[in-house]
Amino acid sequence: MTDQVIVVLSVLAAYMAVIVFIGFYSSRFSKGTMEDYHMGSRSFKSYVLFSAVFGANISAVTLTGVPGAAYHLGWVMWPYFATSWAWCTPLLFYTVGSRSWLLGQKYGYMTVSEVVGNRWKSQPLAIILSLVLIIYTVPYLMTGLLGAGRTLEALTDGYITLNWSMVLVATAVLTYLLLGGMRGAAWVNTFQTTIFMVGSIAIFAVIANALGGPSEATTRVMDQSPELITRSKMTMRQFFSYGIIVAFSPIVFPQLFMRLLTGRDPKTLKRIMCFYPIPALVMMFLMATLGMWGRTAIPGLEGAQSDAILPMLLTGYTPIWMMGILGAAAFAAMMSTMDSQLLSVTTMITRDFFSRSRLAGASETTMVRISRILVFVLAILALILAVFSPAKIITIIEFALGGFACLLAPVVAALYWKRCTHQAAIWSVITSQICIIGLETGLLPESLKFGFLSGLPAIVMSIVVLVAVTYLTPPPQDEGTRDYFELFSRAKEKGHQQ
Amino acid sequence: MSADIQSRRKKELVAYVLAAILMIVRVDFWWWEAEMPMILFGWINAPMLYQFGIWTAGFILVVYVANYIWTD
Repeated sequence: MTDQVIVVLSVLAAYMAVIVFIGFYSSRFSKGTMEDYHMGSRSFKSYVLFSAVFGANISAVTLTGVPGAAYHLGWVMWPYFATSWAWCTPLLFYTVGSRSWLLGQKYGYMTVSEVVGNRWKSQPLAIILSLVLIIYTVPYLMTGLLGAGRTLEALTDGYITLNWSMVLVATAVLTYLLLGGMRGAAWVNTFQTTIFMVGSIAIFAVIANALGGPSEATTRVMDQSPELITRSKMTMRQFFSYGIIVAFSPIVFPQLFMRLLTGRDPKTLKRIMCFYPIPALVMMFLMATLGMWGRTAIPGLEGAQSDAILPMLLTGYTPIWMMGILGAAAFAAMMSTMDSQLLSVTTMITRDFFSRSRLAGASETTMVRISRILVFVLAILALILAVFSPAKIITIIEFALGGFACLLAPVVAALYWKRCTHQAAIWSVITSQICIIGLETGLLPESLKFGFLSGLPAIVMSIVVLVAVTYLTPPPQDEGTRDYFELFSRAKEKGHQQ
Repeated sequence: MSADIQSRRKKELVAYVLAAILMIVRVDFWWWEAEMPMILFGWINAPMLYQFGIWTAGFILVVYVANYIWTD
């Protein structure tokens, strides 16, 4: 075992010990109810909520996918995310988050499917929506394991193999999640978000300095790989379509949606909305720039190999003692997303499936126990998927995000469009998913994409079908629609009077 | 419907239209694939500055919505 491996493992072990301790400590505040295990009793204040939401959104994509893609495509990777997602997603905190939060407070909803399904009191719609969300969240969860595994493997020079790295990461996440549930995850995320924001700036500063400064590093890229500066490796249509997809999808991520509902009051949500775009830009800018510089610093990486460019830069250009600390920052980002995804999928399964089955009458303690078992089973499933399907992270994400983005239209319609019917929402979900899967697998002709990513035609399809079926079916007369819009009107009037 | 709620709806509409415009103009097709000199600190060029501008406009829009449209 080399000095490098010893130092990296020691620092990471200390980091893991801290987060497990936080998870253990948070379990002392547990009330043993579903509301507490899954939603932290909806009591989070601004910074904890921001960390929970931002941590749930910043993942392996940022720390491995973005630098990995920037290695091949250049600086375009930061506006690829930051000039749409960074501000458009917070805007949707208002559009979707404000009304969903109200519904969560009044009816105790925890998931997207509950908010949308109960608008029309439609069980089939809730179940279809849950299935789609779970199907897309699991591969996304897998990218976290892959990213963390590749990082640890690279930082230890292969001493800890990819598979063992993933097992170690999964074990740490499981420990604090099983102990503390949502509260444990949110507290750990507060620590992790701070670590990865500060750590990313430190990583950037140290590597930029080691490469001779930003100007010299960029000049080398201009000389040796000018296509990374001119953006000639990415088409404008891809850039445009991804902007829409990456802006529309996070708000329907089960993990992010759930965490918005855990806010103490609307003021908390507004504060995180205003703060969110700043670290979002900073993180993307730093990571994409590092990935681009990595092209000349460590040339010759092919395909998914570039996902490990950040740890490779760390091992090549930073002192040994710093690698462990900075590696912990990368881990923090990935683990914070994984825990939220595990918890949200568990919540969906227990709330949207089990609560509609024979288990509906089970006690709170039993349901919390079942939730813990599910967290464990899902982590193992993601681990198996990651071991057998180690694709390029950004490829998995582009597909999953497209699938999520198609769900925004029915979600917004459930909250704003009184005339919209449940049949329209169901067909919108089904047809858009058939469209994106058909385009991705080649069952539908490539020409239907018109040069865009498959998510964009699928989003258009979801909107067209939603509108068309709404007007082909009779207006909704159900109790859910009445209740929802009465609640929104009352809230509007009350807000106006204040 | 009160006049204030109507005015807030108008503001909402304007905010969404502006958001849609930003999503379109972020594709700076006039500079795409062009070799641009680094004009700031030796490592930032005009297309990068333009993208910073798009982010800034989006950020201002978010702050506006949070403070002037979203009531508690």
